[in-house]
Amino acid sequence: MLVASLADRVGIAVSDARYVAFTGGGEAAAAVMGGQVTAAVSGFGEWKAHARSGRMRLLAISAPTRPSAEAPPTFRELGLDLVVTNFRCLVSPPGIGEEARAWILEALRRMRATYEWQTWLARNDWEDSFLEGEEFQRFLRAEVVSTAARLRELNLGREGRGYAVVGPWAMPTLVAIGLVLCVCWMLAPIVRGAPRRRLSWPSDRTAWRPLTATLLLLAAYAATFESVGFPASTALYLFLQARILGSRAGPRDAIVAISVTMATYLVFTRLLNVSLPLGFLDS
Amino acid sequence: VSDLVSHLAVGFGVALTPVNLGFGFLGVVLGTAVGVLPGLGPAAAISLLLPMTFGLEPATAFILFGGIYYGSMYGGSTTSILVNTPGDASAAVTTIDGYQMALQGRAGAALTTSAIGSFVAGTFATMMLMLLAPIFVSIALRFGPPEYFALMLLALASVGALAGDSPVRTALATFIGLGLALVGIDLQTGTARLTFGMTELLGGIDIVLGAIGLFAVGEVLWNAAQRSGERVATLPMTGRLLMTAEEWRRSIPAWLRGALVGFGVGVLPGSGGTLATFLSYGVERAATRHPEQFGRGAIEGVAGPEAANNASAGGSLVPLLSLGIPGSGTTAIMLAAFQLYGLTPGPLLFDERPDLVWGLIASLYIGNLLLLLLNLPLVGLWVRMLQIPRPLLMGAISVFATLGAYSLNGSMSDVAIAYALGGLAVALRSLAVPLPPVLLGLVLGPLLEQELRRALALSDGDPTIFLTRPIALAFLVAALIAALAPIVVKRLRRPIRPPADRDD
Repeated sequence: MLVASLADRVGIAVSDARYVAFTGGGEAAAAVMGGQVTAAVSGFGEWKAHARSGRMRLLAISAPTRPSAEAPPTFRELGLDLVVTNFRCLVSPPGIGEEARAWILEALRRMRATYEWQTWLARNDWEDSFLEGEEFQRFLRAEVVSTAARLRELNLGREGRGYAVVGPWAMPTLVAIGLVLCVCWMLAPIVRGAPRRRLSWPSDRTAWRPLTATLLLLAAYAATFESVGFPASTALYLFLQARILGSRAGPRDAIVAISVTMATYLVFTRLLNVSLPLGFLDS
Repeated sequence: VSDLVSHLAVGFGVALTPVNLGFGFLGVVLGTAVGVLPGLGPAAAISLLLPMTFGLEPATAFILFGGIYYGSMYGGSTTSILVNTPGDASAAVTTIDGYQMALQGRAGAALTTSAIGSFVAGTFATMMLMLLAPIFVSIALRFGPPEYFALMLLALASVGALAGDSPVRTALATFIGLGLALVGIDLQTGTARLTFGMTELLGGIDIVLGAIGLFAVGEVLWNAAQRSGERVATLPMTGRLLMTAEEWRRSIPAWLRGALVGFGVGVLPGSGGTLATFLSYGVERAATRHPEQFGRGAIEGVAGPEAANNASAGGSLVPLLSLGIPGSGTTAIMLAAFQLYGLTPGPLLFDERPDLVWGLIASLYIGNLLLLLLNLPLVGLWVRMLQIPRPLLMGAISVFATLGAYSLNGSMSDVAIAYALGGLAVALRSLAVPLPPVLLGLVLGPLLEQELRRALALSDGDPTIFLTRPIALAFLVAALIAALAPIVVKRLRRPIRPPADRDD
C-alpha cells in the first residue's frame, strides 16, 4: 500500500508501478542487494544493519519523524505528505473470560515498564505507542475503514487484480489441466479394453477390516488427544493399533505401549519443551 | 592465509572449551534423534529450544543449533531406509532406493553410505563456507526471480528421474503435489484459494505436514491395508553391515556430486534441502551407468541425496552468516535467534564477533566428526530396529507423526491435515502412483508459481525475460534436456526392460 500511495502522490498511475511481493524481509533484502529490484519497502529496524554494511542505501522512512540519527529523511521532510506506520497487536481467541483478559493486560503493562523492553525498543528503533482494550478496538476499526477506502481508491482491494501480471487462478488452472490429462491418459487403455493392471487392493471383504479399523482408531486418537490427554490416549492407541495389525501378545504390547508413551512424553515435554495436553491427569 | 589460520585458531579455541564441546555434543545427539523421528525436523527443534537457550552465551547457543542442524541431516535417512518413512522432508528421496536396499538385506550398506556421505559433504560444505563464502554470496545475489523460476523448472524436469515404470503416474503425482501447494492465501494478491471455506487451510499445507502425512501416516495405513500374511513379514537382515568394494567405488563419486549440488542449492536463499536432494537424485540418475537399478536399490540413489542434504545445510549458512539472509527454514529460525541476542548476521558480524562466527565454523567441523563417530556404530543398532514387531513399530510411527504435526502449532487441525494426506497416500499407492513426486510438487509449487509471477511482474508481462538472462537461459536449456533426454534415449536404445515386478 505504501508503494501505491507513493506512486499516487508523485503522479504515477498505480497500475504503472511494477510491484513484486516477497515472502519476507530476507528474500526482499537479497533482491535489493543483487539489484533485482530498484527499491523495496521493509522495516527500518530490520534493514538498518544492511545499510550499515554498505550493501544497501536507505532512501526514506514513512514514520512521522526520524526514529534515530541513523534513519533516512522522512517522506514529510522530502516534501511528500505520506505517513504509514505499522503496528503489532496481541490477540486472543474469543471467550477467554474477564479474569484472563485482565491478567494479560496487567502483564503487558508491567512488561512495558521493564528495562529489557526499553532496551529492546531502542535496539530495534521501535516506537512504543501502546493501546489497550476499547481504545485499541476503536483504533483498529478506524484503521480498517481507512485502509479499505485507500485500497479502493488505488484499485487494489478484494476485487482489484492488484499489481500482479498473472492472476491468482492461472496456476490452479494449469495444474487442473495437467491432472485431467494424466487421468485421461491412465484411463485410456481401460476404455480401449486393454487388460487391467493388477491392483494391490485385496479382493475379499475381511481384508479391509484392518484399514477401516486403523482409520477409525486414528480418528478416535485425534479426537481424544486433547480432551482425554496425551498419555492415556496414546497408550491406548498403541495397544489397540498393535492388535489391529495382528499382534496377539497382549501383555507385551501393554508394557511397550505404556513405556513408549512415558518415554515420548518425557522427551517432548522436558527435552524439547513441547507442551502436551495431560487431560484428566492434569491436577 | 595467515588470517585464516589465526581465525581458525580463535574458532577452535572457542569450540573446544569444555562447555561448548559439551553443547556441541548435545546438539548432534539431539539433532540425530530429531532427524530420526518422523515429523520433527531441525527447524521445529531449534525453535522449540530457543526459549531454553536464553541463559547461554550466544556462541554456545549457536554451536548447539549448528549441531542440531547437521545432526538432523544425518538422522533423517535412517527411517527412510528402514521403514520407508523419511525423518524429514529432505530425506524423502532416500525412501526410493534406500528402502529397496533394506528389502534386499542391504540396510547396513545404505545406512553406512548415508553416514559417510553426510560426513564428506558436511565437511566439504563447511570448508566452502569458510574459504569461499564471499564468492558464493556474489553469485547467489545474481539470482533473481527469473533464475529461480528456471531452477525450479529444472528440478521439476528432474522428476523424470523418479519415474519408474509409469511416467504418467509420476506426472500425475507431481500435479497432485503442485495442486496441494496451491491451497491457502495467494501471496501476490491475498486471494484465498482452494480452501473450501476452511480457515484452517488459509495458511496452506506445510511441507512438514506433507512429509508426515504422505509418508509416515501413509505407511501405517498401507501396512494396515496389506493382507495379513504380507503385513507381519519382517525385513531380511543380513549380518553384513559394511559396504563392499563395489559399493565404495560407486558411492564416492556420488558423495562428491551430491556435495556439489547440495552446496550450490543450499547457498541460494529460500530453496532448502528438499530441492537439493531431488536435484541430486536426478543428477545421479543421469550420471549412472546402471539406470536400470534406480528405484530398485541403487546405492547412488542413497549416497548422492544424503550427501546433498548435508551440503545444503552448510550452504544455507553462507547467506545467513555473510548477508543475514536465511537460505532454509532452519536458518530462518537461526536468524531469529541471532536477533534475540541482539546480533545481526552480515559482513560486520565477522569483524564484531569473530569468536562467534569462527567458533561456529570450527564446531561444525568437530560436530561432523562427532556425528560420523556416533552414527557408524549406530548403524548396527538401527538395523536391529527391523526386528521390532511391525504392529508395534507402526503404532509408534503414527504417534511420532501425530506429535510432529501437533508440535508445529499446538493445533489438532494440523494433525487432521496430516491424517487426510495419509489417506490420500494409501489411495495413490494402491493405484501405483509414486509418492516422492507429490512431496516435490508440494515443495516446488509455491516457489515455482511465485517466482514466475515475480519475474513477469518485473518484466511487465514480457516472457523474454527468461531468455535474455544467461543464468536463467542455461537452467531452462538444462531443464529441456533433462525432460527430453529419457524419451530420446529410449527411442535410440529400445532397452529390454525387466518385467514390472516392483511391488512394495
